[in-house]
Amino acid sequence: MQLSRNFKVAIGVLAVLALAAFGAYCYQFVNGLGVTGMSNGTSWGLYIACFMFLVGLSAGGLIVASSASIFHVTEYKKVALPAVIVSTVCICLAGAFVLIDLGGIVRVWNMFLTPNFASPLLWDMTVITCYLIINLVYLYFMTSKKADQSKIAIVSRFALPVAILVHSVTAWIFGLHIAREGWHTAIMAPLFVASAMDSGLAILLLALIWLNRRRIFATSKKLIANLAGLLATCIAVDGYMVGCEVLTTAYPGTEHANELLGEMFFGATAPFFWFEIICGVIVPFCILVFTKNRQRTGLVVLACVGVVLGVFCKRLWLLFTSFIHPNVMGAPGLISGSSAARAGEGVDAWAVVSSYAPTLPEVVIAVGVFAFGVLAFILLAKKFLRWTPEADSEQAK
Amino acid sequence: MELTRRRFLAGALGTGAVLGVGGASGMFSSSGWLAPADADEPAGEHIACTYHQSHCGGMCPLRCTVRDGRLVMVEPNHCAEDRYETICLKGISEVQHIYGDHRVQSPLKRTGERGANEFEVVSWDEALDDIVARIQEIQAADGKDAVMVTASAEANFPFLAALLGAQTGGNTGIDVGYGNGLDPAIGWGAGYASATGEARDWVNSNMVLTMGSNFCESSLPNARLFFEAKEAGTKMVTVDPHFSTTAGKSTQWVPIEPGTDAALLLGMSSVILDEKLYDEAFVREHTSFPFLVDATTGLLVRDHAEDPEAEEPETGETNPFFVWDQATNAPVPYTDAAANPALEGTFEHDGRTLTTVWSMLLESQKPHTAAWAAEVTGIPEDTIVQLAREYAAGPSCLAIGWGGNDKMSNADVAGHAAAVLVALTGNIGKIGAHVGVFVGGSYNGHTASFGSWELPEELAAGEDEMAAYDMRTKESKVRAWICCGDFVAQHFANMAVTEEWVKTLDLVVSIDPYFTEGAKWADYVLPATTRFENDAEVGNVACGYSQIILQEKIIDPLFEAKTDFWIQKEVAKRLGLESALPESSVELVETMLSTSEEEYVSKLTIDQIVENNGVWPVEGYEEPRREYTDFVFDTTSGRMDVYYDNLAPYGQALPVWEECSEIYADNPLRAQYPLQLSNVRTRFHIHNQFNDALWIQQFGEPFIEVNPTEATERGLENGDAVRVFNDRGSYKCRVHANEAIRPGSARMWEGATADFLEEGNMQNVTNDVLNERGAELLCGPVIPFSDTLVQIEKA
Amino acid sequence: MTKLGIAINLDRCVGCHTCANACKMSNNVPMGMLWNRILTEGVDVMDGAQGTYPNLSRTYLPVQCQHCENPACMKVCPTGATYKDDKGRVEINYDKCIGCRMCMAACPYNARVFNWSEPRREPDFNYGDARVPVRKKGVAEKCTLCKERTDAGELPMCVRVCPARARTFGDLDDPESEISRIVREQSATQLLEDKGTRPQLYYFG
Ligand SMILES: Nc1nc2c(c(=O)[nH]1)N[C@H]1C(S)=C(S)[C@@H](COP(=O)(O)OP(=O)(O)OC[C@H]3O[C@@H](n4cnc5c(=O)[nH]c(N)nc54)[C@H](O)[C@@H]3O)O[C@H]1N2
Ligand SMILES: Nc1nc2c(c(=O)[nH]1)N[C@H]1C(S)=C(S)[C@@H](COP(=O)(O)OP(=O)(O)OC[C@H]3O[C@@H](n4cnc5c(=O)[nH]c(N)nc54)[C@H](O)[C@@H]3O)O[C@H]1N2
Ligand code: SF4
Ligand code: SF4
Ligand code: SF4
Ligand code: SF4
Ligand code: SF4
Ligand SMILES: [Mo]
Repeated sequence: MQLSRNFKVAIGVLAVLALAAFGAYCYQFVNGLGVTGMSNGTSWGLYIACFMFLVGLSAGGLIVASSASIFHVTEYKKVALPAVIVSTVCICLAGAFVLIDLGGIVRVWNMFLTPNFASPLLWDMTVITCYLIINLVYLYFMTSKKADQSKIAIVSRFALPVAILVHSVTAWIFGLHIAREGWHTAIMAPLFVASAMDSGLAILLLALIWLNRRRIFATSKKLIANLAGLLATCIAVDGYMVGCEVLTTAYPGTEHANELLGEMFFGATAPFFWFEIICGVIVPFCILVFTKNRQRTGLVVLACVGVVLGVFCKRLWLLFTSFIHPNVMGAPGLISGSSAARAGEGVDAWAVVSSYAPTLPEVVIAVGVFAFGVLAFILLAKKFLRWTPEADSEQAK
Repeated sequence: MELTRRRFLAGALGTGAVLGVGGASGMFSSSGWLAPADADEPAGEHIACTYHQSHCGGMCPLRCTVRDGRLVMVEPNHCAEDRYETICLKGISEVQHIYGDHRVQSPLKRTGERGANEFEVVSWDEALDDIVARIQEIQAADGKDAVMVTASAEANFPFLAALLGAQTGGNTGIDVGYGNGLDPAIGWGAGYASATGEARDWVNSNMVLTMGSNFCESSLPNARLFFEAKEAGTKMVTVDPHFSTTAGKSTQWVPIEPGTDAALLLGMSSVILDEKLYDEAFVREHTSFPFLVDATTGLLVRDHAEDPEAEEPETGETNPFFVWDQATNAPVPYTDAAANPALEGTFEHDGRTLTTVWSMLLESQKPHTAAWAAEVTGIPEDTIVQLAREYAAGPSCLAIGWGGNDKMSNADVAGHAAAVLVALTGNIGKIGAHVGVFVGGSYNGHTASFGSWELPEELAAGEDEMAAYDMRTKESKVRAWICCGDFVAQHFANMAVTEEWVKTLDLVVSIDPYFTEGAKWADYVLPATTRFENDAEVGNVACGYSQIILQEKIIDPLFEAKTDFWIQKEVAKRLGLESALPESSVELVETMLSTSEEEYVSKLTIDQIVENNGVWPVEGYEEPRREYTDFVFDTTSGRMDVYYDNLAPYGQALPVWEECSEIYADNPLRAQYPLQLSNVRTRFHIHNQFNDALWIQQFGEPFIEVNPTEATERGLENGDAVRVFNDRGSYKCRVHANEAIRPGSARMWEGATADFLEEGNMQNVTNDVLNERGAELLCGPVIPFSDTLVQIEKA
Repeated sequence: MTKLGIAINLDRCVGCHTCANACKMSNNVPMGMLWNRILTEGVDVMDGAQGTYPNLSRTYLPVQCQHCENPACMKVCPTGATYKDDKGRVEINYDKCIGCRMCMAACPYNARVFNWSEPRREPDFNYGDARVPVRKKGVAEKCTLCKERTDAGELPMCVRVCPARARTFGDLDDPESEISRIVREQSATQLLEDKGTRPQLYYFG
């Protein structure tokens, strides 16, 4: 393997970031989740947002890969391998975020010793594990010398439903809580699947374009354009679902819904909401809806970046808006337990509305986990993907 | 469980040596009787009993759990009846508070300027030797009474002033506002307007009219009685400028302009007179309304002139008052049973014009119409009429507060007006009809009287030359001042004046478990124990809410703290007077019990009380206390004496409306300082105490509250730091905008000292102008803490 | 069956926070946490009044774990650390808690607090009832309905200390109990009834 100097630097930087995250995690492990910005009011933070995000990213790849064999979309077969790599890496990271978020990871075995099958978190851990296994099996079959199309087809049959399930179950971690009006909606699972489709596809496209650039793996312009077309559809579906959800919340005009939408439209989470709507839905859709634009790599990249960031923002507003206003309102409010409150004394320990901002260790961990993911992707890509001689001509098409 | 002593060492004062952090040894009393064997008591744990604060009137009997030498739990004690098993958040928070970082840990000696708050750690011996030597020096030069000893309600210094022959501070000017006006009419209350009955009797009232009290905070153990009465159908009415906790729980809240209680009471009396709602029989037989007054002198007509030199005032029997006998058309002694006295009328007799008190009242009440009162108080006239009718219907309690109009310069007029209202309606001495302050179960429950340890005759406190608050501005003999509690910041208004005076003294000593604001002004700061620490098995005995309660040793003294008893004993030693004091606090308590005038108390032993969980019910506790059920009052005439002829020169022989000294509506000062500052108590603190309790800090800190309109006008947001100021001084704290606060007023917890504010003491702004009439009043003038105007601005 | 609960008389509650601190003391609850909070309803400053002077009202609302009959927290707990015991109390087995905070997201009442860090105590030793287990960092905790006390037949601490006697503890399954009578006769309500959690804490007055 020949590595350019830039490449080495990039790998070095990623490794350092990953190591820093490991250090930060050790710090968090020793001192507890108190080193994060989470509090009794906003009891989930950046980690869970990243978890939601990564589960989504992971899906797009696998759905593309598996629909290739299930629905015999032969073109997609060509990118199945990079797609599975993306998917595998993302789901590992997602799992990592769940574990990082546990306050009592040393007691995590209790999930196996005395599992509570009513808990969506238990289902989620189960489907994520299944999903990861499927990814690995997939990867194995696709890369093994004896790669057998029939076996791949069998795995695909499992992969597609599990991919959809993984999303739905992740959605249910939130959507089944009657306590949080912003989450408690039947559309949560489809909404997650839609976001997964668009963000997953977008990240896959970005990966493919990058692999092309670096001459690691070739994908035809046509296929890229084709996938970009699919992405446009997914964006539309996603946008449509958000619209349905917002309308359903807003229309009855209940007090709590108004509070919620107030925060989303004008309040603490409004920047994320509007970013998603504009940069994650409207702009990418407007770009990709035109066939001509789909041919232009720059525009596709722009749209994909918008979608990925937009979906990340969506995770943020979806997660946090529902934490801001406690159901039972009154002063002094919640004894927040936040890191800020712990630093302050006395009456400053309370919050009438809950707020959240990630702390440095949290950001370092999150960035590091992503860095690790990119690193892993690069290494896996280098290991399993080949720039075939036909590629040059393929690429030209 | 791990023990770290770090926190003890890391006290804010950084005082080095730490002694006496109770180790497990020595905690388990060898005498055996201290910890009544609880069958299910976990190993390493024992239970002991004590009582809590007296100033809130709670004196809650507490049951404390001690584990490994540390106080780990405080619960209500087991008493004769569940209703005496009381506690509030402050009692509970002692689990933290006694270990808190504002405890004085060892004796401290001033090193810097007085007030600069610079100290060094010294030993007890060094401190006491030097203090006593300096006192002796001062006394040799200027006389024994050049020393003053003042002790707050929570401190326990029965001997110190006597040992030193020191002055004790005289009138306090605190909580005597209403009492000054009310008590002379009844002969009860000693100037503090203590209630003539118990709050337990509220269930039997038709109406409880509360004025300027917030017992749902200032008397938490009585909150239950409030609700029992309300649920039994008693109409609970609260007159308060602000929507206080109590107002919020009342059947009716009557918002009033601050400082105008007297106007409301006078207006109500007018309604009662106009509508003839008064109890005529009561008025005739049990009040001084029929008494005759000499119109020219304004003095009550009596048999002969009183000898001003007389030790005891003459009684109504020996020097009777006179009434106008309608049968003989002549004045006759009121004691003349055959007479048929006129209630109303002006009579010429022997060249004198005599008129009845009643007639004078009709005259003096003329301007005090309901319409006028409505104007002054801001209460609609209809409401005043309704209140008057309902109160007169009775049986009613008039529940007065110490925290409202009591803390304004016209408070005695309000008290006097209350006396007139009660006398008119006869709402006293009956089931469900009482008057006075009902704050605190221990103040209005039954009490037991204890004996005392007799000191040799030559040991007595010196005579008070004046009230301590006057010493700040008048020449006095005092050169040395021993403060058992925080007098500098807490007991006088306008703190700048106090500070100037304190700077001139030769010796100031603070004896207190906590490092108070006043301690900053002391030469020596001596650490006292709290009620939870003791060196002997029993520290004290007291009477709480109809219960005799023992102060058992809970834990060993913390840090280097010593009990008040030990300190007095050590002072006595140095004066060569040790033998005058009891051997130990146990002996003192034994004596207090055995020498009681009440037989059952004198027969009680410590062991008996200990076996009974450290509490013993006061005899007769089953029935609510009710005074004057025979309508014979403790006054000169034995009746309700509503006419105060000593105030005739001030035009206040009968209550006449008078405005407050500073907050009156037309004061030009209002242009600069438009907000009146109500000083109130809070459930979170006892005055300056518990400011430092971390468990309480989580709920409250001293902040100033204003109506949102006032906040908006000044561009203030909730939680903003503000400067509160007037010509006397300023302080900084945070502000809350609360609709409960009357526009034009601000409200703040008193006892807010600099360590707990952004800057300065709340006392910096309070009004210390005393009423000129004060000297004539039962307890001297009241300090008008709330008769204060301020302005606030963003800090 | 036994179904323990508490009924709180809001007419009586004076918002004194005695129950909050008594709970803290008895259950060794660390600094920065409470199992029982007293809210002044509908305002943003403690003791604030609703309305416009002088047309005002004020309600204090003590909020603690509602010991729901249908506990949202229990369902979502992956390890079964949160469970409903035989006396109808919702309890946490701290040894099983993995600190995932599903329960915190699920509880509509924000009744739970989390040991974000090593618990800090002032004073820094274990106070309160010796029978109460000590919690480690990384576990959720909340009102236990004073399990240790109520198991021994004692009243919950918050009920024992309330100066206004606003709290009544008892068995909701026993029709003769005082609490059952209150629920029947005082048209007692539950917090956020629409959430379907069926609390065993009732409010009336
Ligand atoms: N501005 C303003 N000032 C006010 C008021 C106001 O409304 N406004 N209110 C006034 C009123 S009503 C009153 S009654 C006074 C009360 O003022 P204080 O009499 O000062 O109040 P206490 O709470 O009784 O003070 C108790 C002091 O004794 C200490 N102490 C407690 N236990 C012991 C003990 O065992 N031994 C010793 N040696 N010390 C102990 C405490 O730490 C505390 O410093 O304040 C008055 N001051
Ligand atoms: N928790 C606690 N309890 C205490 C104490 C404490 O420090 N803390 N201190 C004890 C002592 S020493 C005392 S003196 C008592 C005092 O106890 P209370 O007599 O109950 O006095 P406050 O609690 O100050 O309440 C005074 C009320 O009067 C209102 N008010 C203000 N100005 C006026 C007015 O002009 N007219 C009328 N009608 N009302 C007015 C205030 O808004 C406030 O609600 O409390 C005792 N109990
Ligand atoms: S502060 Fe008063 S009411 Fe509260 S526990 Fe102490 S004595 Fe009782
Ligand atoms: S102790 Fe009673 S009155 Fe006080 S806040 Fe709690 S429930 Fe309300
Ligand atoms: S109140 Fe919350 S924590 Fe308590 S049982 Fe109900 S859902 Fe669970
Ligand atoms: S934090 Fe603990 S109690 Fe809560 S859901 Fe997770 S494992 Fe269960
Ligand atoms: S029942 Fe016990 S644990 Fe629950 S709030 Fe009351 S005191 Fe706390
Ligand atoms: Mo007082």
